[in-house]
Amino acid sequence: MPERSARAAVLAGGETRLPPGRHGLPREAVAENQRERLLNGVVEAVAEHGYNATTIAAIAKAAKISRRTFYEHFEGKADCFGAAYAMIEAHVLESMLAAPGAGEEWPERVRARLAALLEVLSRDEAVARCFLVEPLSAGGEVAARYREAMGHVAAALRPEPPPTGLNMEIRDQALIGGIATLIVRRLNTAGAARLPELLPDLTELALAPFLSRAEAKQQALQSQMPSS
Amino acid sequence: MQFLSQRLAMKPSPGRERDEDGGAPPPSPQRERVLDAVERLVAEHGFAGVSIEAIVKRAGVSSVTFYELFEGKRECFAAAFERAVGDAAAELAEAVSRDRAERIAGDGAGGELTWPERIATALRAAIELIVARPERARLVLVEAQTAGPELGARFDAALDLVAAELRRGRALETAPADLPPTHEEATAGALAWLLREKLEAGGAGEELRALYPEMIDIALAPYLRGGEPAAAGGEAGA
Repeated sequence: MPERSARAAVLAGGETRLPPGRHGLPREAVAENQRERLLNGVVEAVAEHGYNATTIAAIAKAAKISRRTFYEHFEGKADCFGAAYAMIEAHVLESMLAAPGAGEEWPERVRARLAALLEVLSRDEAVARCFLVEPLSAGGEVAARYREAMGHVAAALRPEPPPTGLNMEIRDQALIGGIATLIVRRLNTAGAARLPELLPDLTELALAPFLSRAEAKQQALQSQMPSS
Repeated sequence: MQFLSQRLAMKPSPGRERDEDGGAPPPSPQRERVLDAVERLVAEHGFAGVSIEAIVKRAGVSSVTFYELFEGKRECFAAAFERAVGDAAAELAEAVSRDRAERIAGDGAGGELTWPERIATALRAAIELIVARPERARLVLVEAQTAGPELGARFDAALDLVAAELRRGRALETAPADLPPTHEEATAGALAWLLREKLEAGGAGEELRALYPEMIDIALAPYLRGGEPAAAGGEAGA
């Protein structure tokens, strides 16, 4: 299952499930493996059932781990999902910041980072849903973390130096509101694989308040061309 | 079923006759009471934390009555959401026609509001509505997105109404011909996000009203500015 192993690579840095039975591994390695399987399990279960309907049993089942073992690692669902969210967030932001072309001038950088955001979310529907759709349902700490993550996304797209005469806090929020709305809708109607189609629209959304329309359009059109 | 005495005792709800939701049952005092109770309870506990028991207790109706009115909790939540959105749409339309009547009385001309004026009036009215009914606003803008796919779809449909109204701006002469097709969806989502974040942060009254100048710029500028950036001279450093 290529999709699953891709997610395992995202969530567990490449490690997969240990073979059953005696494997002679030290206790810490076993614990680490269990924890990573649970993080993968919570992403699968939450993407499938929605956060509110996800039970510990469903997480344990997806991870092929007993409920008892679950509680050795996490206090509960929010704790487990929060840990998975932190990993997804770090992965998404690192991908944006390390995107090829992200070191360029501001308009090119915005396009490169948005392309990386869409690419990383398009690779795995469950990861995309957990990053953008489910945190609001989770509420509390997870929702707060989601807001913080989206703030980092906005910061990665901001013009430098920041333009004068605009309330950048509000502009940041408006931008991530627009981006999140378009991504979530496309995810719901067309699926993760089609997310990269949004690149020209998102690029224009991010640039238009700060560039002349001709320049914003030019950047957006460039984003329709194959990048490599 | 409704008795004539009930019907006569009922105060007309503003704009309900304009409601196109033909499938909705006529408002009954008990139904309204149940939905009022849902608004308050959801503001306190979120949808997930509200039981039918709590609703009937707060509304002061029997559970038999509840089940006569609604099939279950989901239908009841959906009805609360639709009432809130329907009332808001009616009140926004009313604010626009009020402004129009004032204009006619003022200069004697039969001038319609222009599209930017209509959007400005509606946006101001929306903010006042949120200030006046924070529990209802919370249900629509914050809680509906936490309650699963069904209310999520209803929230999307409400955003689509906003997007359709914004899309009329494309008819302006100053509007660029090549705005991306998703522009209005993104704008509607951005406006909802701004209001939601402010509500979540406990914002009320003046804090919400302070959003107005930026919100109106975000909504209108792409159609009015003829391609000039909002940050005048910012990027160019002029």
